[in-house]
Order: sequence, then C-alpha cells, then structure tokens
Amino acid sequence: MRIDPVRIALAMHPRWWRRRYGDEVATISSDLLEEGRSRWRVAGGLAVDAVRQWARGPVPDLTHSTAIRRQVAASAAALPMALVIPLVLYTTSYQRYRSAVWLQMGSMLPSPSWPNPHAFDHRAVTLVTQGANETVTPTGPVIHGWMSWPTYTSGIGYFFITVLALVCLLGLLTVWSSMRSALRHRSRHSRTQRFLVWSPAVAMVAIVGLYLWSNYLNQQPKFSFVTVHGHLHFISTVRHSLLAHVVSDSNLILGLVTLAGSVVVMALLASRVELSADEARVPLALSRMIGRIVPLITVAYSLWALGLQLQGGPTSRGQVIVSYAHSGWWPLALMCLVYASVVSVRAVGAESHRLEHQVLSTTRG
Amino acid sequence: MARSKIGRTQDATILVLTSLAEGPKHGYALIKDIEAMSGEAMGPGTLYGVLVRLEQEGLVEALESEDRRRPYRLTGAGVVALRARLETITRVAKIGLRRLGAA
Repeated sequence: MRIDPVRIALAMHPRWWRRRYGDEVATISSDLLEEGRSRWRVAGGLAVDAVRQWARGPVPDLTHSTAIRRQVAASAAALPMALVIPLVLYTTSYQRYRSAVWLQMGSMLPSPSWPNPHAFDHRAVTLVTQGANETVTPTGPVIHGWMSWPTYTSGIGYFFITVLALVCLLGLLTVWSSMRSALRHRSRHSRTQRFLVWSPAVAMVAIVGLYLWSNYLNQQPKFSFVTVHGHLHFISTVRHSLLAHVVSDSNLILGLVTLAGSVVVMALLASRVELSADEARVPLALSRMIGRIVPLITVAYSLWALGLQLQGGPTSRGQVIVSYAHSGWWPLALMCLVYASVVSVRAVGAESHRLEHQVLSTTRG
Repeated sequence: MARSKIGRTQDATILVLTSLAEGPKHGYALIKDIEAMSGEAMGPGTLYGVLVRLEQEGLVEALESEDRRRPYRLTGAGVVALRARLETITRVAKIGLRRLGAA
C-alpha cells in the first residue's frame, strides 16, 4: 500500500479540526496536487499546521450560553478538589503517624527502588511509647526485601505527583505572567492585577513557611543503632511535638481556605475582567493543558494513598510502621490544584467575555 | 539569498483578509487569488492556519457549504480590522519609501 503523506498530515490534526475542516482541506489539497504542487510540500505545511492546531484548541461552540459555560467551568475546576481533599485529610491523619520509626539496611542509593525516593527495607517492629520515651524493638526478619508492590505503587504515585505538579506550576507561572502583561496598562483592572500578583505569593510564602516550621519541629529525631541477627542497623525515631501538630493543622487550614477562597474570588473576577482574543489565547491553551493534568494528579494521589495504606497494614509477621515525610508533598500539590482551578475559571471567564463580544459583533454586523 | 521572513505571518493574514474583501471565496479560490495578487504560492496548511485563527477571532465566518468547498466571508469586525491594518501599512510604507528616497 502506498503511503500518502498528505493523508498522514491531515490525520495528525485534532479531531475537532478534522470534523470541521478535514473534508474541505482534503479537497483543496487534491486540487493542488492535480495542478502539480509538490506532495511533500503540501504535507509539510499541513503537518506544521497540525501542531499549531493542537496548541490552539477548538473553535468555541457558540450554541451554549456563556453563563452556563462559566458555571460548568467553575464546577469542573472544583470537582478534582472535592476528590482530593478527603484523600488529603485521610492520609495526613495524625493518629496514624503520631510517631514514626524506620530501620535502614545498607545504602539507599543505588537501589532498585526508583522511583520511590523513600524506599527502604521494612522490618516488623514494636514501638512502645512511655511518656516522652519510645522504645523500638525489631521483632522479625525483613518483611519487604527490597520492594513490595504496595511500596512500588506508592512510589510511582509519589513520582507522578511530583512531576505533574511541577509541570502545572510551570504552566501556571506562564499564565500569571501573561495575565499580568495583559492587565498592566489597564488602570481599571489594577485591583485584579494586584490580586494576581500578590495572592499566590502571599499564600505560597505562608504555606511554605508553616511547612518548614512544622518540619523543623518534627525533625528532631533520636538516632541509635541496634544489632539484629549480627548486623548493625541504623534506627531513626521521630516524635511529633504538640506544637508541630498545631502548626501542621494551621497549614492544612490555610491550604484549604486558600483553595476555597481562590476558586470563589477568581470565579467573581472571571465575570468582570475582559481580555481580548489574543490576550486570552495563551492562558486558554495552558488552562486546557492543566485541566487535563489535574485528573492525572488525582489518579496519582489515589495510587499513592492506596499504596501507603496497604504498606502500613499488619502482616502475618507483624506491623510495619511507615515512615515518610507526609507533609512534604501536599502543600506544593495542593497549591498547584488551587491554581489549576483558578486559572481554569479565570481563562474560561475571559473566553466567555470574548464569546459575548463575538456574538455582539456578529449581531451588529 | 534566503527569502526574508519579515512579517510572513502578518502577510498571510493580510493576504487572506484582502482576498475576502472582494467577496466570499472558498479555500481553493483564495489560494489562486492570493497567488495572482502577490505571487505567493500559499499551501493549504498555511491558509487554514490563518482561516481557523481569523474565524476564532470573529473576523471571518464560514457560509453554508454547497459541496466540500465551504466559502468564507469577512464579518463586520473583519472589515474594520482590515481597513485599520491597511491604513497603518500604507502610512508606514509611505514614510519608509520617503526615507529610503532621502537616504
């Protein structure tokens, strides 16, 4: 069968484009080829356009009312939060992680534990707390030699949370800068601009500050060595102080308030600020990208939480007490989710205004 | 010598809008008109890249298709945008040519 580069280039376009323009472009291409235009040149131009169309996104559907679109966008943006918050609350339960202990055998690197940065050998241990003192007693052989499937599952989840959150963060930084430049010369939007500039910065500083403080309070481990079956093992025991609990709780509350507040405020802003089509293009494209990443982060969270619950469960050889930096990941991920919502609502709000403008122009025309 | 790429994207937009200023045209007619007008052999990829953007911006609109050749026409906003752009280009061209003559 002969390979037709023009058909391949047409097939590279997104589905919405093929439905709307596919037939007519195929007809024109065929006319031009009959005239003697180079097949590869036509295909090359179409392939470049395919990339452009993927980045641009579909022509908006004018049949829906803009108000409904805005409400749907706000709900869609808030939905991942509704899924994630119970997981966050469940997995950061202090009862479960009141104290943590782990035994480490050998070196962590290099190890087959990639991509789990917290992988280590698990032993069945007994943890006895008497007042401020904690005693750790190894009670059996290594339960998970190197990696168990729950450890691996949580490791994969953690890895993807980190990667996806960083991609979201980069996208959001770009959106902020484009929003700022769009609003810079409009005095009537100075309040919006100030909000865009300072609210993420203030929330980020507060959350990171509380996180570091809480981490500092928690990171006062007692180090010791024990001998198990003739081998020397390193033991680190961490006891969470009451103040650390309070700070962590404040962090959680601040994160949730920022989340709810940002969604509400940005939904309000979205209904008031008007951006031109050019100004809205980059935020819209990034918003779509982030909108697709947010559900993936939710899946990664679920994997991570599921892996941890299984990993920390009792086995026939004893209870494995899981130790990990449970507060290390979620402020960053939560912030990303907050601003994913914000940007979705904000950008769709801008699009709604553009559509209204477009409808008016068409009507007047 | 390699061809200068100054303003090629803008050129394509202006060419498409100018061609449609004469009246509604489908894609193939646009390509032929632009070729006759400017000597530029525009490909379907470039043409539809521009048309999709102009349609999203509300400067052109598609008409009912008779067959697989859908015609496009300028909207009111498209006419205003094209006129403003051509006036700017004319003003800049006059100044540029005068300065080149004086140099």
